[in-house]
Amino acid sequence: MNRLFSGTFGFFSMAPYIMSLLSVANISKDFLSSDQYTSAIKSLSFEVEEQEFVSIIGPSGCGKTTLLMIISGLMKPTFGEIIFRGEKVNSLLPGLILLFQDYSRSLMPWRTVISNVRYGLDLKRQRINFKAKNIEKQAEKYLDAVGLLEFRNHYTWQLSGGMQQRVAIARALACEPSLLLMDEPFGSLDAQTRAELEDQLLQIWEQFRQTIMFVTHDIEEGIYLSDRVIILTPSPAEIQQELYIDLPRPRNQLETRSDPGFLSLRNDIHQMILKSE
Amino acid sequence: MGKLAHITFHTRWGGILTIISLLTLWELGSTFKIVHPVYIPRISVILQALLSVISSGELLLHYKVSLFRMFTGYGLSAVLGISCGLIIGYSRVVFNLTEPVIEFCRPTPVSAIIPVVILLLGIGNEMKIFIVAWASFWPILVNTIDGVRGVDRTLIETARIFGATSWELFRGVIIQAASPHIVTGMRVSIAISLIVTVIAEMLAGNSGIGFFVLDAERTFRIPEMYAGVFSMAAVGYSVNRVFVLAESHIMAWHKGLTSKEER
Repeated sequence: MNRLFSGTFGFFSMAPYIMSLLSVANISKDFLSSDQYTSAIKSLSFEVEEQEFVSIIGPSGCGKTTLLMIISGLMKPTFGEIIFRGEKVNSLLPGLILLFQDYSRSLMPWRTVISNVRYGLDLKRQRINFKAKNIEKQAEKYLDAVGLLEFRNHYTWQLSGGMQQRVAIARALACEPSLLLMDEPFGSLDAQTRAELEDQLLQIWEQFRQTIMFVTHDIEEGIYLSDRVIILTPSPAEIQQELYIDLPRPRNQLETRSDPGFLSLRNDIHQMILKSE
Repeated sequence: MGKLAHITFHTRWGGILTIISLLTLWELGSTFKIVHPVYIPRISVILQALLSVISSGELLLHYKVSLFRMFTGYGLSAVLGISCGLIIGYSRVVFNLTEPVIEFCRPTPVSAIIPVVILLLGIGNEMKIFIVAWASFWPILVNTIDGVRGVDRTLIETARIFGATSWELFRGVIIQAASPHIVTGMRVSIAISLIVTVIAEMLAGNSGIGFFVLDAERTFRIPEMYAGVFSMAAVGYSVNRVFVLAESHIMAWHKGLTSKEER
């Protein structure tokens, strides 16, 4: 319903946003560099629905990471606001986890695999009454979901890159976030590992149905994974197009990627991005 | 034959063989008066002197005093250096306020401040402990600051995303991530603390291993002087060895991580 109204209302009217999990309302971000402002993001507005898998596709350096930093609350926008479950957000969201591309820098090398997965839960325990047994169980559940339970007592740096990113995914999922932001999570992996992780992510998403906002510069990856893709222009980022991907699920690396619908979507988006450059 | 060559050139035993050879050369040089046997006595004479100062309890008495000064000074510098370093590294404001002072004090040779400290604290234990603490404070402080400031932004942002408060971030991430640097500073300083203890004891007072060596030289107990020097080499080696062992145990994750990166 509210998709009809999306984007165009600006941030003064709250009503259309109430149904959405997340509304990005008229976000702009300028950076001050050597006495002049450069605009990284220019009045972006879109919404993310509960349980949706949305991808943001845009060329490298177009401000995708900046956008995620703003949504997660690590960075303040110059203009506009983020509305989460109908409420304006001013700080870090408790129900939101941001997964970084650089797994080797975001995992804690002094903690073992299971202990890394526990990290978010251990912090939660300080605030809500969360029993140690539950923490262990929950960490194991999600480590099992990414297929790494047998490596629980390894250190993260003893694992391969793909496995490390899976540990990071398990750590994010273990907190059961209501919104999972992923910043080009498979960007530094080789093609085969990447395909494996894409499928594993889809499986996990179908199992636990956490809302995912996935940022990538890979058009095919965006189409393959998502319900909807948002295509950004080169810097300063603006929305060029929003497309619904109605390819059947579960998706399959071979069938989905050779589906005529997939191919025509890929070509359309490719041309769009070429035109905008 | 091939096996012997392998043991000599490819194992630790080769190095020990080198030491034995050098000591033999010394022994022979002194025996055949190639060097002056009074100023450079035979190794066997030095060892006898060493045994006798050990069995008489004289050496241990001096070491008890010296090691007390050394470890008290070192302990103080570690506690102060780490806690100040964590604060200075964490807070940009405190860093900006203190950095010039640190850069001014750090390169000052410790020997230059000894007269000042003698003037203020006398020539007793306080002076020596203070000087040891002063000298070993700076490497620990500077390494701790570098460690804290060098903590990866991604790691900090990750912790904040997971909801860590400032204190949780500090305790659970910053200190851990900086710990390899902190330990490096502590390793540098433990060597410095032994050196400075000995120097301080030579300059003033009448106890400690530094005093023992200087006193032996002045009273022409040359073999005892060498015995003191050799004993210090052994103590220095052992202290470092114990430290490295403890470090590889406590910081096992870091050892594994860095040895993986080197490959």
